[in-house]
Amino acid sequence: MTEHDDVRELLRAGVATLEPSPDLRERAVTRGRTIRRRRRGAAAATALAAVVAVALVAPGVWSTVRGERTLGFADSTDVLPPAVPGTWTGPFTAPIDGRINHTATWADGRLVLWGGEVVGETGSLGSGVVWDDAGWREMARSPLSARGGHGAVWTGERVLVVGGVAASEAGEVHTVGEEPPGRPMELAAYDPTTDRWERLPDAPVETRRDAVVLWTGDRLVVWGGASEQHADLHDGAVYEPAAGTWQVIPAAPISGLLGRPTGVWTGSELLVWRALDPGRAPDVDGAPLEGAGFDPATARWRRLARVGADLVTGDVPHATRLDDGRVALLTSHGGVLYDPAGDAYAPMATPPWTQRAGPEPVWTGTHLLTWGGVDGVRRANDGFAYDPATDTWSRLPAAPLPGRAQHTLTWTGEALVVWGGVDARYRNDRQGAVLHPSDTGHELVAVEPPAGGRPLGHAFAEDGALRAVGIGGAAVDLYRPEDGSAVVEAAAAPDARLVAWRAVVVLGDGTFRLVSGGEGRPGEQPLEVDVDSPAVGPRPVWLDPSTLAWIEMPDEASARIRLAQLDGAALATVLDEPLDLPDSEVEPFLVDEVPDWDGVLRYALDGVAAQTDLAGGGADVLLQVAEQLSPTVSNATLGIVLRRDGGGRYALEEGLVRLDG
Amino acid sequence: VDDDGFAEVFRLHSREAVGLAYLLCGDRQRAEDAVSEAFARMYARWGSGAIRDPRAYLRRAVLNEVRNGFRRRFYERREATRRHADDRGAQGHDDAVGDRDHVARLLAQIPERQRTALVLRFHADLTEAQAAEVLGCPVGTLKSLTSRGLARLRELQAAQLTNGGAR
Repeated sequence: MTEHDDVRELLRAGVATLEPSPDLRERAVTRGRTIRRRRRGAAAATALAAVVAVALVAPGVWSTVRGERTLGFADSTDVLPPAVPGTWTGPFTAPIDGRINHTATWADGRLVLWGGEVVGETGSLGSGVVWDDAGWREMARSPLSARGGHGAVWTGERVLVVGGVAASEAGEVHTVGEEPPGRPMELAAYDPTTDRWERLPDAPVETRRDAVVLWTGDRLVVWGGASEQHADLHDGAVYEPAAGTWQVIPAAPISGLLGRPTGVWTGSELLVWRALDPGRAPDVDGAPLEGAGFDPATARWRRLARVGADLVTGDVPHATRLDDGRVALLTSHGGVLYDPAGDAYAPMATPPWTQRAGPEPVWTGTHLLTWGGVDGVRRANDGFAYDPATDTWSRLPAAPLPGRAQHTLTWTGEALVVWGGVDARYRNDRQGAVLHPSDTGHELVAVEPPAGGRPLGHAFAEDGALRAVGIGGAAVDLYRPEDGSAVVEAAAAPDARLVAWRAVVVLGDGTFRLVSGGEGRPGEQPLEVDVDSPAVGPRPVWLDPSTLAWIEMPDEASARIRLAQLDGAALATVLDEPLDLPDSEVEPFLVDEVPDWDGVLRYALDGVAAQTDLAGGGADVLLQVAEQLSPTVSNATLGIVLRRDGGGRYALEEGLVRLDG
Repeated sequence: VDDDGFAEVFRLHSREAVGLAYLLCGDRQRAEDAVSEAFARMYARWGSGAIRDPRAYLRRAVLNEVRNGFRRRFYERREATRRHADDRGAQGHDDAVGDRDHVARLLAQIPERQRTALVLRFHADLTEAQAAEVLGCPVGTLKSLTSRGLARLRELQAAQLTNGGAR
């Protein structure tokens, strides 16, 4: 007998008599043939159409496609959060290994990256780098051993690094109740000015990972987390640098046991929350979070009010203290606002995702920003801003980074720094990017449709101004928010079914087209539009905003936009030459037949230009698209302009990506 | 397409794939849908030489399909409609079904990532490094998920004994 053989036997017994249905193979083969046929048929039809198009398509229509800046897409049922202006710079590459469970600390003009772990490897990292105006430099060797899941805060003078677990020492599977005792929680201080470390006293509690680590202004607070042996810890400690002493925080009266805890410092009290595991606390009636408050002056805990499941669900909570004293609690499925004064929760506008385990968000002073994260198996590369003053969510501009999870977000006081994490292929990424929300001179504002207007479907910048498209029923409104969100133009769609999907295409000359087409009624799947098989759905049309006329695409033109279904979303490829995409329903992690495209993928979302160097990673183009098709994303559009060289090889000349949820 | 070769791969791996999918999702119909889609994708690529390890390919494809439960492809709805209309009738509820339900109920009370870790480690017999890669986490996290999943499973089993061994 080997350890856990009983579990193996249990699982084996669970499926011992489970035989595949007799028709399973037939179903798979039938389905597989459909995939193959569609793939080949689409490629052949596109190739033929491209030849015809050279002769028949009027110049000036498709020639402008190359100059497109934006290809937009709006969901048929949900109102999209409008885009907010801002500029990304990057990507930049830090001169250290990509990692997760590291810390990224903004230290008065310097970004300090230290520690962490590498996906798929056992060891931790003890290296770090500092970025400042002079560039990157390696940090002096730390007196702390390599570790991940630690915490770090900036005191105004030094970075305090506390706790964490060395992966190489952790993680042996022990029988419950037989875990060895934990080592003490270590502390060290790093001075980025002198590049010197100092070892400080150990805490009188055992070390831990994923704890709540806060700086109160004069003290370091550490609470909760998981021990080296994965036990949930509910105690903590407070370190006072001026005295060089620790104070133990007794165990909190909290039973929540699901994932990492979260907390804030109110100025006088530590507030913490953990997600409740309904399996362990079945009497909580679905309440998702349990919270408690600790007053260091009295060394006493108090229980916080329960969060009603009617207000928020989900786990992976992140608490952020807002400037007005309230605490924003974001979970994987929603958000809620906590008022410490009244010990009461209030609803928060529903975040623009249905499921997302994101990084710790940042507070800008006016907005809560979050970017990336994982939903299901996909790594998102979009972000959102929450404005508590108006209780609205806005979409951040598209970032020049592939999607990722377990990265860090750092607010510098002026900009958001995204770095590290793991990408769609579970590879550590040492790239990052910086968002400057105010560079455009715009405030982070939510664009609302005017009274009586249709829900906002898409917003984008045009010639420096913000425009928005409202879509609903069988009609489209065009707004100019800078004019007070007046409805400036409106057009009825020729077919109500056409609003099943649509894409806003901004052309190089500053005009735009609303491309629309699809099968099914609004709000109803599927989105299958296959112009190679016109019977599938109505022919795509363009809305010409100058005449407010819908223009039905000719066969020759429409054949050059191939729309297909991609994981429940639409994939549109704008082709200069035919391309045999391996599978329009490509599986994010199984792309293995895509040509190794070289070149630069340039794209622009909401009028903000960005680019990605493919560097021979053609498959990643599709991965970047697929990874973003999260549960929150019901529509996606990918536009690619390819050029074929003399050798018959396709090179990506220009690409356009737009994914909305 | 080398249908014979595909048939052989199906014969060798379909049962294991259905079992994996079932343990992950606890629903036979959903499990078969996931396996069907995984094999369909494999079939579409069959002969290109791109699939070097069919078993590993299937494992990941099945996991993706199950975890992407939010996806409701047109195909799946069509298939569901077809199945709903067929004459297969209700599944029998014998002891074997009872065993399956029992295990499925146990696993359903374990958080998804912990459950996946247990199934990958103790059913699919992946190494810790392999399971960590599939789950997209460090080996330490995989160990943590496994440890917590085991502890949770033991708790659930103990609770069942306390409650008279009720299934």
